[in-house]
Amino acid sequence: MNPISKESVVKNERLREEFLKIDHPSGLTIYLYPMKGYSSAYALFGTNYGSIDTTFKTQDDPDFVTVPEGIAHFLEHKLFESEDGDAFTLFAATGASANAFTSFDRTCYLFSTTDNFEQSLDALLTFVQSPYFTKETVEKEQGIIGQEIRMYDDAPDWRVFFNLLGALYHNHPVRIDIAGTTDSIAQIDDQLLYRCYHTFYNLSNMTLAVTGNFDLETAKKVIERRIPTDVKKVEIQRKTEEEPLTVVKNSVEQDLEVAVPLFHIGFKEQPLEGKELLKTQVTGELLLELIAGEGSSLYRELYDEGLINAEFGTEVMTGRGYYCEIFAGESRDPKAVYEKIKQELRRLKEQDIQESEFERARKLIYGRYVRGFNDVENVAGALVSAHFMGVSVYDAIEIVAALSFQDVVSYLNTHFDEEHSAISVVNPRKA
Amino acid sequence: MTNVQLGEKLAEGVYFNTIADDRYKTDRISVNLLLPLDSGTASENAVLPFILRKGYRECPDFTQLNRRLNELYGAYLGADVRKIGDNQVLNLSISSIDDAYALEGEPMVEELSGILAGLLVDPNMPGGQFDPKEFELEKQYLIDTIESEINEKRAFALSRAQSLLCRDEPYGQNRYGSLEQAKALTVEQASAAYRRVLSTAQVEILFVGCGNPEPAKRRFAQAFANVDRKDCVSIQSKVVNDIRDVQKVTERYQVAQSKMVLGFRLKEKAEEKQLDALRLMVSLYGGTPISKLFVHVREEMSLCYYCAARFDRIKNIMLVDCGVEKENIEKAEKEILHQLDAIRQNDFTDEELENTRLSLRNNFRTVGDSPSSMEGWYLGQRCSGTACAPEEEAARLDQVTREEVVQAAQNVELQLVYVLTGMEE
Repeated sequence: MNPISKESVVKNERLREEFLKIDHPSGLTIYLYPMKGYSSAYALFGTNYGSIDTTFKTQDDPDFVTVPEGIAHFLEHKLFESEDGDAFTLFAATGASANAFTSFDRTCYLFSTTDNFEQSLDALLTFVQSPYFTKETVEKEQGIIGQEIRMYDDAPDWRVFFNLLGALYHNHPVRIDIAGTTDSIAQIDDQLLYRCYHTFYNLSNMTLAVTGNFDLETAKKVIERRIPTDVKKVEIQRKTEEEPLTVVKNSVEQDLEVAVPLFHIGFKEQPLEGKELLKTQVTGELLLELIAGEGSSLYRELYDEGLINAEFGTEVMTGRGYYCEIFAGESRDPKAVYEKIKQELRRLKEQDIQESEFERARKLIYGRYVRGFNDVENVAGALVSAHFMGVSVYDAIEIVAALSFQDVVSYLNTHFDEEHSAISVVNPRKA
Repeated sequence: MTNVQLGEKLAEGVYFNTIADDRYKTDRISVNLLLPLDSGTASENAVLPFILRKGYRECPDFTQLNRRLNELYGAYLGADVRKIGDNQVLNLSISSIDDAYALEGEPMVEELSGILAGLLVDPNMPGGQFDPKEFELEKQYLIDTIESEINEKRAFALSRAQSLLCRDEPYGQNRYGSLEQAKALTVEQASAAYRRVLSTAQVEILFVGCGNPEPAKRRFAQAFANVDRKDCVSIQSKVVNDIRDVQKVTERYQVAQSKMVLGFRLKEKAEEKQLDALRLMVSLYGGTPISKLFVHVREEMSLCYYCAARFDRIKNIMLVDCGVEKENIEKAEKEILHQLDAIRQNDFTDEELENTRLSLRNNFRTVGDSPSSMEGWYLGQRCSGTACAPEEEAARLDQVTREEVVQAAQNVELQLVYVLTGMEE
């Protein structure tokens, strides 16, 4: 390992686990998390760049550029191609299963392997750092991604979610489909891809997490071989339009091929960052369980009245510049569900919640976070999420253990403003 | 370290299977009721896991039950219906963190298995009947579930193709039964079905976790001591090698993208060794991102986002599915069949074959890293009367030769072209 790499061991007594964190001179932060007894090694190489990064510049660019919607996802597809062929062929000889995904605020490349870890990690670090885009290969990809977009056009659970975001957000690009549209991806060319790549795929904007069954020294050897130390720092400036807390509209509907209407109900909140965001998110998850989980009186009432079925669930949806709580499910009368949720929130705000309910919900959330450490893929994902949020992967579990009743009461009283909420419904097509 | 012990008999036709593994932090216990998939009983069986999940005599109230589950660190209670070969599998499962990670050292295995056993053998049935209100709610959920299958277009198309291809076999039935049957269910019928299922189904209990399985085993042994087990069903699946004319079926829905599924059967009955060759062949054909279908149909021709082949080892059926623009359907079909011909004609490199072998081995060896895939694997073994570890199956693939792969491709025969497409303009 390069002498100027800074290494530290991070431990958690509760989980009886530890990992190695390396601050590499290139600016890359590396997490090596061996897990005893597992057969596979899993690696995520990710950049803090996703579909919402549509207007940006670096210190060397005179002006901001606004790129077509869906370009981060397009770039993810295209990075699998190099001058000598496909990245999948690099992995083929190792047996590893390789893949990638793009979300609102990150793009990650990954592999899972039980053999040939060294070659697999080498392949991952190599292909992500070797962009190769030409006019021809870009055109070819437009056909494939075009079919991916068409597939999502037919997916009601996807539509109902994006329609909600469109109703909640005026300007923030979270309102746009991650893959863009057939029209927007038609505007993508090789030069634009290079500009995005050189802005966001610099090592100080990236992280590498390796989990599961692998040898630390082997991982370090590959990193030394494939991660350059002398890298020019790129300063990224992202331009985001002001996003008010108000919503665009309170209701949005679409007709699709479904039997029972699907709904997503969202409450828009102030976005946060870092540890404050993490604590808020964990508190929000706990409170959602308390308000509408299977053990809540609201759930029981909705279920017994036939207004929801077992598909009902909640989540906190958050990332760079957006935060909302979502209630989702199937219902023959989604508007009635919306009313009941609003009523229950009003009731809880007036009468306060029971401390015993808080304790139960806290145990549930604690168990959920411990279970997350059962799985190599989950642990790697959590390391990357924590890194981009600016926190440690163990922070969440410690926050749950230390959370107070007062935290939850105060969350309830400062969130869930009806004025800032909306409902999205996908209805069956009329015959 | 994985410690597997299968088929410990607790009562007539009731088996306890332990997959103990200290890599996990959790324990997962599932009860699987294996029954022949029969059009007469499919719906009345299918509604049972959903009703049973709602409570039991000791804790009849769903809200109270869930509060108890929350206290057990958000123990997850699952109810599910699966189809494995010609059989219907009713599944109830519970999972949470193990005793070792509980904040107050609670005896988690004891608690979790107590609840699961209670839900299974001691439901809340005053007067021998389910609560009519609970029944109506879960009947409606079953109806919703059947009707909502269209929401997931890819899975829906695959399920339709299975039904059409195996229309004269139990496997052709929907795992939840038909919509008509679900709508006609009565509480009396479901209650009687519960008694029949509890006394006659083959019961496979699986424990997957880092904890001590003994309390769970004891709980279930006690639970079944009071159940009158008789006329246990025998679990089997039929393989059909009768080749007919190709069925061509097109169905129209309001969709943007068309889905196509090609269904294949084997001309000649396959023995275990040939099944290994088929598994490798299907993967070479369309199971990985280096497969024929991915490389040619997706990457070279840009026709699809997904185009993949899968093989059902129990039923010996291969399905190829893709999402494609309406005007490209014929082109895609032609290319998919063309790629199969390539394998039949020995047109693939040693590198392609070896890399496919590596990729499959990787998949098998990864099974153990997740408790739910481990459960699925060993349940599959119990359903087919085998007891292979994933690593053993992986090792058998090493024995498969190129010639056997070619023969395997020559043994599959197209029997169905199913297309789900948009309305006519």
